[in-house]
Amino acid sequence: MSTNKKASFESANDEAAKSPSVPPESGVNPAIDELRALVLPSTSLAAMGFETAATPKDLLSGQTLGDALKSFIRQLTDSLGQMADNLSSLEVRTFASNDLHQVRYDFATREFNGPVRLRALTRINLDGDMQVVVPEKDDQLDEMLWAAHVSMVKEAQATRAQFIGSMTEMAMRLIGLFSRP
Amino acid sequence: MDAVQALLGAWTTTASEGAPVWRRELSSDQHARHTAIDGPEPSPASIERVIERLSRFADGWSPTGYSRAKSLGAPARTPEDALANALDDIAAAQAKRLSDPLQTVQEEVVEFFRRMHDLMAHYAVIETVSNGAVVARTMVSWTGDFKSLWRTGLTAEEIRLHKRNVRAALARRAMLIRLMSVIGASAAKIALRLMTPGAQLLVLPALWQFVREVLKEARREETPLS
Repeated sequence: MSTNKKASFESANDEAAKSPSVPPESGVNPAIDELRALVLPSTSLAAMGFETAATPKDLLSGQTLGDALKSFIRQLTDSLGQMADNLSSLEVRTFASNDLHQVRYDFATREFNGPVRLRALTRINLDGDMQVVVPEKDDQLDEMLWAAHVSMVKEAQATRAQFIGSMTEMAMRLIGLFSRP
Repeated sequence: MDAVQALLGAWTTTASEGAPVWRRELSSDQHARHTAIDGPEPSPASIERVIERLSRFADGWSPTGYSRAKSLGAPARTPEDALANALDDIAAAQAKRLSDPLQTVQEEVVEFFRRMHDLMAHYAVIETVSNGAVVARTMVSWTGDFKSLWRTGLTAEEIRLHKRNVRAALARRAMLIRLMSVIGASAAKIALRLMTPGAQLLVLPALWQFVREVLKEARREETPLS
């Protein structure tokens, strides 16, 4: 398949050189197939004819560009998939430390390590329920830290709205590409 | 890759950090604080302008129309003219021959895609530094959950500054994602009209060049005359 793809790539370019705006006689647009190959995660680069022994690596110096584009689109589609799972609630946690330089964030466990204390937690569910957790009476939350927490809750809500807007716009663009006649 | 870093602003995506980091040093001087948060990078307005102009171009472009323009020998007066000429060349010549002159630009596009991938794949870390000390650090998940770490004894002014810093960082991330999607969708739209296999890989550098030109134009207009 890949070898054939290479052949059709070159012949199509030759054809394009003669008449760039004339559609192929078969009525099939090979560019659509290539775009689909970029978007569909199950389709490998080899399906585009770029990763075979018969196809020299430097045939099209855009190969790495294709990789980057594929990687980005995969990331995008994965993220869109995860989005549905993660949007059911919004969580804001506020921590305090006497020495921020001693605190490290572990991205694997998603926890702070070091001299750090959780001071407030707000969880807002999709149905509007809100849970706020603050220290007990004998361990009072500093007024300024509470103000900081509230400010971050507001930013998180604004960010979530912005995020949904960006994702919707991006999804619409992707859908729009393939829904046109 | 200065053009890419300029667009990303204070976002850095070095592997050593484990996540993209937006770190801003804020001075005690009021004017300097404002400048530090806004930064020297292209303004949100100029990126918005790129998004609008690129979308408009991609919606209206057709190979036939711009072939006629080229035959008249019109010089490229605007980024749109230059892009139309580049696309006309892509449509008219063999793709593999054309890829060479765009090599440098192509490397930048790859870098931009890579950096955007990093920006979307990880938690983002936003850090506000004042007088050499970290005031606050906020980790933001992809979908917007926040974990903020504050130093004890913080002031109302520090809260305000970190909030502004967080807002600026996330607004830029959102805008860059929009720009990315417009570049990708525009490349796809144009490639479909070119009907040339592999065209989208050649169109992307041409579009990136357009982005650079529009940003350059915006910078000239935003720079006050002395």
